[in-house]
Formats: sequence, structure tokens, C-alpha cells
Amino acid sequence: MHFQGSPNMAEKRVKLISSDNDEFEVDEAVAFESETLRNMIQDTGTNVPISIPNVSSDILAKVLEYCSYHAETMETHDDKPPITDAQIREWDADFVDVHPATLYSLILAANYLNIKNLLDLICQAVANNIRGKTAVEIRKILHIQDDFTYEEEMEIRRETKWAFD
Amino acid sequence: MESSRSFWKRFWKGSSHRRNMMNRWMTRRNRKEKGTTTAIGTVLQKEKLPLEAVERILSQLPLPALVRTCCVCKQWHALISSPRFLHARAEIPSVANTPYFPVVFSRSYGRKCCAFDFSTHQWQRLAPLNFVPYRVTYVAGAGGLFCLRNCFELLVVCNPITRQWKNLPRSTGQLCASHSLIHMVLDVPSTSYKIITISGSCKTEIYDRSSQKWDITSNNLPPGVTSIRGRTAAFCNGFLYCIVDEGMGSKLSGIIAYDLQLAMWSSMLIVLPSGFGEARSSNSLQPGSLAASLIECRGHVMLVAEKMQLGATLVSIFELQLTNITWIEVATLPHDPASPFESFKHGLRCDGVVVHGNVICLTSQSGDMAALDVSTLTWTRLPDCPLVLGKNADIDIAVFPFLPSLDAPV
Repeated sequence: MHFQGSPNMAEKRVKLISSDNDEFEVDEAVAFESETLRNMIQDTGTNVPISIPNVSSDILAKVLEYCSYHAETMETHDDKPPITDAQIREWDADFVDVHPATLYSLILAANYLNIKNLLDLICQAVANNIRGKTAVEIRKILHIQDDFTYEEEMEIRRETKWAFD
Repeated sequence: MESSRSFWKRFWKGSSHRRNMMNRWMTRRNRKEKGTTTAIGTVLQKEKLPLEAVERILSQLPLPALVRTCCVCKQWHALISSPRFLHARAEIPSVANTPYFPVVFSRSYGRKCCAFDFSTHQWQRLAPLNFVPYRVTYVAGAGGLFCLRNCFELLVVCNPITRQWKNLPRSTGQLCASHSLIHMVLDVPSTSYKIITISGSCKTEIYDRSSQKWDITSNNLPPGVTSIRGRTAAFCNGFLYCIVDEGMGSKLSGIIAYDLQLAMWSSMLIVLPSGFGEARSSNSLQPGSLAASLIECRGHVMLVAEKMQLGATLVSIFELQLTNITWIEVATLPHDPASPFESFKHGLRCDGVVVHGNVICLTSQSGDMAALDVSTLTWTRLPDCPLVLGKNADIDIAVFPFLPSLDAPV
């Protein structure tokens, strides 16, 4: 699978390998959106493919889609008008309009790859998503183990009862 | 969905097996409801969310939603009450700086609390004050704290969200009686507060949280002033402005200022705009005065007052110009019979005037509420408060913007 970043041939290309062994090729500028990849590339160069063992292909594709769009917004083209902040916000809103389980995987990927803006964006989306949800639903979305005893949970519920009315 | 959940709760008697069954059943059912989009990405069940991400998510939640997430897991519960997290959360402007107001609470058993959330234009239920012992009445508030007076005339400061409370030491001057003016001023950088009590005869006592004691300060009345009227005051640029009546019988009303730094009353009386908030003559059917209330709005002292005009009550808002000591009329509440503010013709509640930012909120004697946006000068009627609905006359209206806080110390 090849991922098309911006078609700037002068740029160096970087090969990335997902957990299910798919190969992605992106511009160096796109990979540099991730602090983790930037450090790796600076250590090993662009000749060696970089394996990302804990991010699956579909999630990596989504992350790279974000990186290439945001790398593109940084570039200035003489023939195209610059992308406005409002356009970026709209694109970001579309980007996070996915299933909650996907958001969960994206958080893990953004955290591992250390992409601050993406992490912020997804955390905001998750916050909006869990705002009206029950504890049971939140645990399910974010894969959290319920470690309270029944008595402990009832005690907390009694103290915070007002927030549930 | 709620009803079926409460149905199941009845069979949920604490056995962990039954509880797991219930969780599994709920999960399965939720999955069915969510059939519209499909998830991508295989998830390693064991992988926990990194703490940094959890903090980022939780710090974006408004307070009631944040409190609801306390029972998700132990890590979240500990995080939500940690000072480090709360401090970081307070730095996010969109989350922390939108207080609820006005606050309404019932005096009866349960002491339920409710406040209006202007960001969602809805009433939000707040934590009840049922943890404070004895019979209490609301007297003041600031930030995330309420100041109450119990039936032994002691002041109690509480944070309804953390359910912390403490009795203040008894003041030496005994100024906490029901006719005193009590005002709470928050010192934001030090998270400390001062409680200023002024008796009807202008005797002043100040409680400072940082020194934990009362100070009797001043008791020299400006010449001619006989008494402090009402319980409303505005704190502005280090001065506390109060409404006073001057002279015995002549009943000239105005405002004077108390300098908190110098602990002195100003000698100048600023007379109220003509006809507004004036004392009714003693042979009137309704003794007392027309309602007048002082507030601080955008760095200015403002007066919300009523005036009798052709048998109807007119409610106007004035701004005090300190440079030439004049009142500038800002707005008048629409008073034609077809307007939604018709109930205000029966009068304004002095203790029901509250302001935050550009919004001033007024309460009528019958409990209806109107809000004025000072920047656009538009009036809106607030929806009825769920606590005021029906026969319930047993309510207090708290006159300050309440900022629910998990870390405001009492």
C-alpha cells in the first residue's frame, strides 16, 4: 500500500511499516509531523524502512492522512491561495467524525508517534463523545477495567448523585 | 433507555457475578444501538490509555460531566481530585471561566441547588447543600464557595462540590444577625476570601481567611447617614458600595463607599437617580422602599432600581460615572403588557440581581428571571427554574456567579 503525500519529488521519501506489515511511503515532511519518527529518521536516515509495531495499517493510514494534510497547510504555493484556519478546523472536525473505537486507537497511535496536535484534537473529540455517557459506556469505549468494588462505586455515586440528575 | 436501566437496577443486588452479567448485557445492547458506523483498527484489550491522554480528555469536560466520570475507575477518581490536575484544568479558559448564575436553592429538606448555564441556556442541577448541619440560609457567595448562616447566627462557608464546610469563629461584634449586610470578596491569586459584615448602623467587621480571624474596623458613620439599607453591595476597585438612607424622616437615599484598604467610609453620599429606589412614605400601603440593588459590571458600579410611574413599576439599570458623579441610564426593562417581563410590574427582588461579564440577571417577586446583555442591550427571559415550578415558595436565590470548583478551599 502506498500513501500519497504531497507530490513534491525533490523531497526525500520515508518508508514506514505497520504492525500488519503493510508498507507506507511518505514525504519526509509528513513523517516529521511525528516527533517519534523525526527522532528515528535523524538517527537512522531515510534509507531503512521504519517499523511501527503497535499501529495497525488502517490507523496508520488515518494518522498519515492527518500528517500529510497538516504538512501541506504549512507549505506556501504561489499558484494556490493559503489554507485558512477555518478550513483547517472544518477538515479536523471531519477527520474526528469516526467511531469511538477508532478514536481510542488513534489516541494510542498519536501518543506513541508523539503528534501533539493530533493528540489534542482527538482528546477533545473523545471529551465531546463521553460528555453525556454513563460510566459503563465510557469504560467500554476507552477499554477501561472497572476496578471498584460494588460498595466503593455506590459510595462515590452517593457523593456525586447531583451530577446524575 | 433510562427506564429499562432502572428496571434492571432493582435486580442488581451487589453480587459481582450478577453485576458482570449486567455489564455484559448492557455492552451488548449498546453495541446494537450503535450499529451505524463501524470501527477500524484492531484493539489490544490490555493496552491502557496513557495518563497524559486521560488528563487531556478529562480537562475538556464541564464540571458535572467530570464529576460523573469519577466512578469510571480508580485511576480517574484519583486524578479528578488531584490538585495538579485541577490546577491544570483551571488554566483552560473555555472550561474554567464560565460560571453558572443565578443560583437557586430550596430551603426545605434536601436543600437542592440549581443554576442557570448561559453556555447551554439550560438550568443545571448542582450539588445539594444537605451536608451542612442545622437550619441555614444563604447569605453570600463568591467563586466556588457559599456563605451560609445557621440558626445559631454563625457563618458557615462551604464548597458544595467537594462537600467541605467550616464554621467561622463567632465575630466579637455579633454582626452576623439577619439584618446585617454580608458580602464575600474573593482574592483570586491567593484563593483566599474576605467576608465583610456591616450592621444596620454601619459598624463593620471583616473576616480574612488568611489570618482566620475577625477584625472590627470602623464604626464612624458619614454625617447624616442613619442606616444601611438592604443587603446588596457592589465591590469595585477596592471599594464596597452600599445603599444608605439619610436623615430621620426626610428619607433621602444614596450610596456610600467603604474603602477596604483604609477601613474607612467615604464621607460623600451619591444620591440615587430621582424617583428610583426611594423610600415609600410611611402612610403607603406597602411600607419600606422601592427595590434597589447594586452590582459591579465591567469595572463599573451599576444600580438596578425600580420607580413607580402611573401606578406601574418601572425597572431601570444605571451606571455610575465616578468622574462627575452622575448616573447614566443603561437600559429599562420592557414593561408593556404584551412583553414577557410583565410579572416584573409586581416588583423586583433586591436579592435576585446578579451579574457576570456582560450579562445582568434580574428576578421578579414571583420568581421570573430576565437577563440583559449589556454589550448588545438585548433582554431575554430565562426559562423557568425547575426548583421554582409549582407551589414552591420555599426558595432562595443566590446572587453571584457560581463557579463550581473541586479545589476552592473553605
